[in-house]
Amino acid sequence: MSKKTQKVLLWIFSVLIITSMLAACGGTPTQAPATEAPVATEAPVETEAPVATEAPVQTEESTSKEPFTIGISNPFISSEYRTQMIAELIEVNKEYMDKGLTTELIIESADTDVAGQIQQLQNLMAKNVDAILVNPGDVQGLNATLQEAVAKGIIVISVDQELNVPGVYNVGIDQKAWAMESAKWLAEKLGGKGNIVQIEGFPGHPANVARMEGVAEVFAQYPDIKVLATDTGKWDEATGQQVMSNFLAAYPNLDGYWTQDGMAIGALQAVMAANPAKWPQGVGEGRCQFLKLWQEALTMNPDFDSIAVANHPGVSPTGLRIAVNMLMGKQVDKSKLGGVNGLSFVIPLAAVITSKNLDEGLAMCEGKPDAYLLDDIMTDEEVQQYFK
Amino acid sequence: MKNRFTWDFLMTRYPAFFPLILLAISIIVNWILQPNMFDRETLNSNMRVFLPLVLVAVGQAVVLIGGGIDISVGGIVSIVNTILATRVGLDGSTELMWRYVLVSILVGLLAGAINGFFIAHLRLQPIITTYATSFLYGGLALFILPNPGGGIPASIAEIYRTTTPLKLPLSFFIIAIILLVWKYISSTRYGKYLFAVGGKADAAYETAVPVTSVQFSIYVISGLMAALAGIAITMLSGSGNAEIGSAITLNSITAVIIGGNSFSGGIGGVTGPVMGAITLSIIQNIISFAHINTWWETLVKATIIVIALAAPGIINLLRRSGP
Amino acid sequence: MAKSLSARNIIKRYGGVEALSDGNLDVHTGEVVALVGANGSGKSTMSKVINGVVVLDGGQLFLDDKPVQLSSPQSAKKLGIATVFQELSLIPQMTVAENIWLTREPMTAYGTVNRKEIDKKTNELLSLFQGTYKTDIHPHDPVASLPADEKQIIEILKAISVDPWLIILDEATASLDSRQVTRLFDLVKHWKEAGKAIVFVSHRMEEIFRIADNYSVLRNGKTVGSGKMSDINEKDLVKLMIEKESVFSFSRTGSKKPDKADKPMCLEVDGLHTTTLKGISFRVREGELVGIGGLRGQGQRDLLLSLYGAKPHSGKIKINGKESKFNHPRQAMKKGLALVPGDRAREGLLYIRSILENLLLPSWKKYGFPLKIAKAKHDAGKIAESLNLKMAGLNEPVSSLSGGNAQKVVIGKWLMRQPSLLLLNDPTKGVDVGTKAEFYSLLTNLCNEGKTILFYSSDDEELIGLCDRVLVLHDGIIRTELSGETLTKENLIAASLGISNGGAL
Repeated sequence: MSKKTQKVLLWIFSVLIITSMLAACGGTPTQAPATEAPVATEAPVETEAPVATEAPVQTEESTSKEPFTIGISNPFISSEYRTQMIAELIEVNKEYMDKGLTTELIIESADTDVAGQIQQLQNLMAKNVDAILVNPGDVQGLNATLQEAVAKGIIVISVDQELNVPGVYNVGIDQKAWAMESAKWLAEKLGGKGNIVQIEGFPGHPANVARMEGVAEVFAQYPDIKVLATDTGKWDEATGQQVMSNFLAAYPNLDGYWTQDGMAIGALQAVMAANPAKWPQGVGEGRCQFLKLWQEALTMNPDFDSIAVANHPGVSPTGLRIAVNMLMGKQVDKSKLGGVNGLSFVIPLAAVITSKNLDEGLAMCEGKPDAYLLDDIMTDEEVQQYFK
Repeated sequence: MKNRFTWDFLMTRYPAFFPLILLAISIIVNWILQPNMFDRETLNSNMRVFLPLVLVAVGQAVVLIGGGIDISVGGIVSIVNTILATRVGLDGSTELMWRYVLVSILVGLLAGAINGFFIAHLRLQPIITTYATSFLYGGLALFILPNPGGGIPASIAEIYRTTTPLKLPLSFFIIAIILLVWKYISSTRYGKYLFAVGGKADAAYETAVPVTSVQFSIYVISGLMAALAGIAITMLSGSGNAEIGSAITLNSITAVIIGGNSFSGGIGGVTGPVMGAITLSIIQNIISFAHINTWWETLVKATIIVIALAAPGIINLLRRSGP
Repeated sequence: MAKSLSARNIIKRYGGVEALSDGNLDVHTGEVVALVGANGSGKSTMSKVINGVVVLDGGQLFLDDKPVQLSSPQSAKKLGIATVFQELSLIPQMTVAENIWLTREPMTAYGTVNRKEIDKKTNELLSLFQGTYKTDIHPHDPVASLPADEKQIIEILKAISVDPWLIILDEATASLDSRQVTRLFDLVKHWKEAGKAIVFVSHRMEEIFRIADNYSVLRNGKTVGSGKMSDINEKDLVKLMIEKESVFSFSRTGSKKPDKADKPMCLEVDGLHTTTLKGISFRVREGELVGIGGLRGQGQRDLLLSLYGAKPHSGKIKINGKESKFNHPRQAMKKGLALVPGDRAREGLLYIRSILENLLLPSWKKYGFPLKIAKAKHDAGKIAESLNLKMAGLNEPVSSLSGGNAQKVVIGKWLMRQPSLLLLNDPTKGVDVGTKAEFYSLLTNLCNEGKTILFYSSDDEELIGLCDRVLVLHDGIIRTELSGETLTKENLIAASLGISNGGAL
């Protein structure tokens, strides 16, 4: 067999692959029915059937046919918040599955960037979901894609992060109010007077921006509270600890500190490690690990005080309940909604733990992992308040 | 007599052969899992997401052929994104947009020229230099736009998102143009210089190839492609975010290696890396449609990529231990 | 039209080393000049000077008696000077055609390479060596897929493709077989008639006498003689290459080399084969210092690496009477072998780490777990002292040491393991004279202590001055064994060049 023949065979093989791809891409049946037929026989004939049963016929009909398929898009997985969120979503969905209202959730969850989350959303659309719960990683970047979903009649709910997109509902706490709650506590604890430092999350992250706005607003009302410095702890426990250690070294007479989320654990650990003559009062967070640490800190210095306002992942399963109710055809009472585009379900803050109810909080942590966030998921009945 | 149908021969003469097989496999698997994959809308929405990576991978491929590496591409993508998002704005005019597209391209060329100057003229290590400039460019992007926001008019973003000439995605035409340009360039004298410099720079110098200029040029090309990717990704998302390019650098290098180019330079092409970039993107789709448990996703994806990367080596190993 | 190129009083330094101190060369159209010299005499540097690859530190080049500057390969190429490099200037990943025509590709009107034209022209060139190829060579074959001799041919074709008037053949025949050499010489004769000039750099005396018209001899970077080939014979030419007054002042303690014939065999090698070695057999007795000589790249490195288990090989090796087959250096280390590599920067030292760490590297295990650091330091200090290591302290990085002292560290780290058989791979390359002398007395002492040493050196002087016996390698075989009376510089060089089987010239 000559080399030439082999070469020719190779080329034929390559050309075959390319043409089959192109033929498939050409897609429209009017264009090349003759070529499409043989290509189609290659694989899908048998496989198409089972796939079709998986995603039932309901897509053709209107949204009122059960069971509904709900898709989740989450671009960030390396956090306890997201882990708890996904687990709770699955749990709440089970409730509806048992009633025959929904199918298994379609979860697109991976560490990814804007383009990756757009792809997640596109895949959910391609899977013909009836509703999408999205925890957006970017406040602007998903807009066009989400609007495409809305245009297809898909109910889109942004959880945990408010978006200003026509037709997209938001479900979440008021981040600003959340931060103001603890800032106000700190200001009052210090008697409206003192030197404090702030450890913030990712500068520029929308939630962080909203929170810091709220904090600034609160402290503006207390002219004697001086913010000596602000640094980012990148929402990371270890970084928070590092930053707090630096602050303690730089400002030995600190009266208080404001921080948020997991960084609060690091910050308190830094205070406990430094054990300064005068302990600053500091803001905590609604995680069981923090409550335990708080309890431990009290044994070192009984004068220490803190506050833990939970930023609870339960808003997402609450959002799932809202989505199911909407899919069932219930009309949303728009007068109950607020936010930038008038489509935001503002969920009340969950547990607020102060020194008065620390024992209660610790009791809630019984049997939960350290990373558990104090949580509150609205029941189906409670959700009804948003509907007519 | 030498058999011209051997694996080695295929790999050197047709560097895109193996990536073509990978691409074909991934397309078929994706198609089985997602029967509507070739619907015009699905195809377009997929391709418009894939394109930025494809563009960066093309630039990265040229750099790797020329014996270098460019880690700063993500930073350049971010700069371009933040420039467009802050200068054009959500309610900017079309004319303003095109003006800043031009500015973006110039910025990309300049950023590449800075890399090229350090590496080709000052003889610094490519990996260290571009690692350093990646922070320079990324930091500049954060300086331009500290908080995500801004954007470009939705109407302009729609041009990129929904244009489908001849009922085919716009990306197909862009990729086709790139491949044609590459076909031309690789058959010019510059193309030969590129392979010569990447293959054995000393020998190329002794043969009177302008080694420094060629090394400089590859980073300029990479900067240009990163700028184009930045424009594409901005038109895809419509918004600005200084972190937007951070994930694309490593993905582009992975795509190029899957595409059959080598870190040692002097071999490969651009066609393979284009297919590598699409394959890499399709793998994400496959995982999504295969209903793999969220917690397994990263592991499965990484495993597939490792297999794809290792396959040529494994085949070589099997061939050697065979008869 | 007759042209000429002359080099006058060329000086070229690499770092502190003078590769050329007074290089001279004259070449005219229609003649072949043989550039000859021993190892490190500056031949390759001289050809790089003519080709513009290196920048001169002194002297002047003249083209047709007018001064010229060759600042780059480009400028040399413009003047019609082409070089066939010893270290190939081919790009392995590229094809035969692309390599030959790189920078001079025939172009189409569209600015692309004219494939038809380039193939045609490549085939024309390939036909010059028609009938001597071992493979079915094709313009589109990647150079990497070709055997060494065909790569060399492509390198030659590449040089002549520019149609130069001066061709420098730098060891171009080293990897060619006899048929290919004959074909090349036919071509050279043809080029001569066509008015080209050729500079022929080679170690092969037989070829020099076959093809050259004139000769020019380099010794230690100086041109020491030139003239017509017809006026000189092999013996005189070799004499010119050899230093008359040796700078080598070291003599072994007790001047008389002790007789070791009654000592037991330490190393017995029979029929050792590798890719470059073609059947090596020899014996070494305990306490002997045996040198390995010959031109560079005749298999010396392979021989040492094979003994050390670092290179696949076949053949029988007995160490201390026991047959040993090492597949990995670790096995060799366990049996008391140590290899001191030649390229200390690449194979011998971790420059940024401390002297102590470098010394202890092969023997950490000896100091156990937990680490007996005090004992380790003590031992390392003793070794450093015995080596007379000039250093600020054991904790200083190796990069703070001079080349000679760094080389001592390489040896010291193996001495820490108390090896019984030391393999040395050109350890004195780039080491200053003072350190060399210390080094020689160290080797002598080691032998007197009963250690056996196999010593490859590219410095013929030290082989003669130091070794009990010298095995001269040529083309992968032991050409000659020199010892006692026969161990002279003349014999060593003659054997290296493959002129004679040893004995008197």
